[in-house]
Amino acid sequence: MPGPHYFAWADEGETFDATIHNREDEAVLSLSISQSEGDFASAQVNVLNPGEGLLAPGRQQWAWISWDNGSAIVPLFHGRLVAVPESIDGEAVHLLFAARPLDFDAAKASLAETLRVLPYYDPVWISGDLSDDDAVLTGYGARWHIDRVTLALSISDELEGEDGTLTFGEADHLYDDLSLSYSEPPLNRVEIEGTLAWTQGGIGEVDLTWRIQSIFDQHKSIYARGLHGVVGRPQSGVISSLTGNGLMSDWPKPLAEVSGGWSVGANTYIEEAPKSFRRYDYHVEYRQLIPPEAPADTGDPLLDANNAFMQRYGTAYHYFDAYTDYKVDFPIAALKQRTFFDWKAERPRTEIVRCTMFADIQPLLAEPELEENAAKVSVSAQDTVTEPDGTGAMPIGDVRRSSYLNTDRGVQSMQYLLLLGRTELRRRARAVEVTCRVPWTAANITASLRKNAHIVDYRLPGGEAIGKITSYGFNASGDGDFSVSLSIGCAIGRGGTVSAAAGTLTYVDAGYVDAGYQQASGAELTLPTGDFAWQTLDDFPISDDGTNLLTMDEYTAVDSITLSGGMDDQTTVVASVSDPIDALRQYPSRVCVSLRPVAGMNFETVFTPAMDPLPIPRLIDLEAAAPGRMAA
Amino acid sequence: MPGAPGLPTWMSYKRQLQLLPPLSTARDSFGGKRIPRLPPVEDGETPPGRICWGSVGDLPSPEPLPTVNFNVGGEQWQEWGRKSEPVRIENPDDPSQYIIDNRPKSIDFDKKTGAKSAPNTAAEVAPGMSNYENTDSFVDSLGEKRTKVRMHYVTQS
Repeated sequence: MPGPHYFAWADEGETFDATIHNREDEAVLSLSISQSEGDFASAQVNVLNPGEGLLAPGRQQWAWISWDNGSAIVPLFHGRLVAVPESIDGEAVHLLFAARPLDFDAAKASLAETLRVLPYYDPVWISGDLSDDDAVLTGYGARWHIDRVTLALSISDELEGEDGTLTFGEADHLYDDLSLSYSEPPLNRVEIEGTLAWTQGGIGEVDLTWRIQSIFDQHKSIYARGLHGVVGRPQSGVISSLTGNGLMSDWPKPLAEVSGGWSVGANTYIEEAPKSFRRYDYHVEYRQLIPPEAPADTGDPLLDANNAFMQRYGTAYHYFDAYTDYKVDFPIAALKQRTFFDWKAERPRTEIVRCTMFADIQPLLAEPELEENAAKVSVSAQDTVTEPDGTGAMPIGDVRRSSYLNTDRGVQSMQYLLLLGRTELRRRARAVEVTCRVPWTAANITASLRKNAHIVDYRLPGGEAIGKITSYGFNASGDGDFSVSLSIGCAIGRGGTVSAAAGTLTYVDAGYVDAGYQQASGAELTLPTGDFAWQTLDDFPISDDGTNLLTMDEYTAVDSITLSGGMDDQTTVVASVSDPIDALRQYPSRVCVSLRPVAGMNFETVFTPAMDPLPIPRLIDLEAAAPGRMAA
Repeated sequence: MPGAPGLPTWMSYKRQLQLLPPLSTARDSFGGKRIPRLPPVEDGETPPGRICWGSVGDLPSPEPLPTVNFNVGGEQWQEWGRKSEPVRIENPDDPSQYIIDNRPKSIDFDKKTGAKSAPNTAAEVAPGMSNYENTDSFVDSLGEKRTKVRMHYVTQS
């Protein structure tokens, strides 16, 4: 009668069938099945030397190992022969099998692809190899898990198993095989610094035609709009000047470069206004004195100065010297202009997140502030927010934005950083390892690396410990010693939960607008894992010059627009001085436009959000009072 | 010479065109019209994004105003003042054809009587002169040879 352990050679992918695989294809002397976190399960089978090459043609390379628990034959392991043989011990040989599916790499790549979701995986922060499948798990705080029977690939959290908990009372495990040890010291904190460098950009055009016309109108252009807002020829673009010739010839030429990221628009022009605009001359009559003959030089400076003064300002000059009356007709130029300016922004920006995540753990560390009790997460990336991601869209959405991290997508990037820190803190919080050995029972051989174990023993702090199974071994020896050994990693946190602060509403009263429009000061956000809260980045000002590329128009793009030598000034001057032509040379119509620079500036914004402590599960109570039995 | 005995009020020193100060003086004077400040001089490095344009270009040339100076015998008549008004002058056959011209309302002359002064013996009055009449005159106190004459346009009925 074979059993209760069975060993059956099988083909790759052959499904377990209790009625078929309940064989002993080899004479098994002992076996051991074990698995550690992140590894494949392995089986060491000690069999009688079959005396033939295990790789002989026609021999099967895979095996099913199963066990009859009294009511059913359950599979324990399915794997492929990897060592032929591993060793020879007298008449026995050790065979080594690994539960590694042949398509493991493809399966991992496929699963990893499904895990590349925000915020657990954010290509914004990954400048290097995006095809690294193992890097996908960093944000999850999980490890690969390969089922020893089904060879199914999955991931499993590092602190809490997904498939339930095995409980072992004091009578369920062997007294002498219980041990407790401290592994790597836990982390007190993780200092995070994330740097994103990118270039704010964009192109656009602003039409200053009407603003230029308007400022000429304000300076009494003869074609200005009528009284009381009566618009004679609105938006005609027509301006007027007494120095129209020079104004026209000096008008910005299409495509000419202007500094600060600006250039003159291709459609810019100025020309004579249509004939429908009536033409006028500004008629000036004036009198010019003809100065008397210059007095002779006397050689006496004082006398010469006096003579010069009298020649210029003396009474005789005014009353009796000759004069000439002139008239001049200044043509009032009627010019039709369309004036455009094109902008092309190129503003390097750096956004830095600096924050520290603290783990809420039991005081295992004597000096938690020491540098070795802190980890650093430092990542940086260049131009990843403005390059298309896997979906073909730019993470920033619109490259004209002045900040990325305070967008909805940017919040996900922030979450990714925090998930990296969370992973570090949780992994290192698993600072206590408890091992035990339990009988080989139907329940105990269901142990897997996706399960937790709850071990009760009065010798443990608090009398018990719960932890994720980090390794297990099923041992069946020929001398009848059947047992299961387990190692669990216990987190030393204090437990608890977090809730995000709502903050103080700063935009409008509650309920006035839909969610998403409201703004709050001091508000907190939570990770999708629900166990961590931090201050929203909305509270931090963006380093900026106030130029909003998203709303560039003829008003927001212009710092100032001025006109000197408008019609009001020109007509005043020519009517008020003795030489109107010479005076007008001092007052040409001149337009000055100061456009907001959109290139040549660097901006650096540093976000330092406050963090709540990260709750860690209390899986072993190092602060517990001694149980009664120990105290006694 | 305002206030001189026998001198009409309008004969106080007055010119047709006010003698205006040069720009450099007017700019510093607050007694008359406000002269706008000179455009600022832009020196140094132009800030990014700033652009200015506009220059003087070609300006018209002045023309001397027409004067009516003439000699009658030994008399020298020199215009020194004039007030004009725009009038519409139409083509009698087609009123739509017209020009606007300045018609003197009054013309002021300095008349100097020379040694060989003699009366105007012209048989006919020059065309248009009948529309003007000598409304006032006086003898300059500086000498009898200098007379100021104003001729007014008489509205035709």
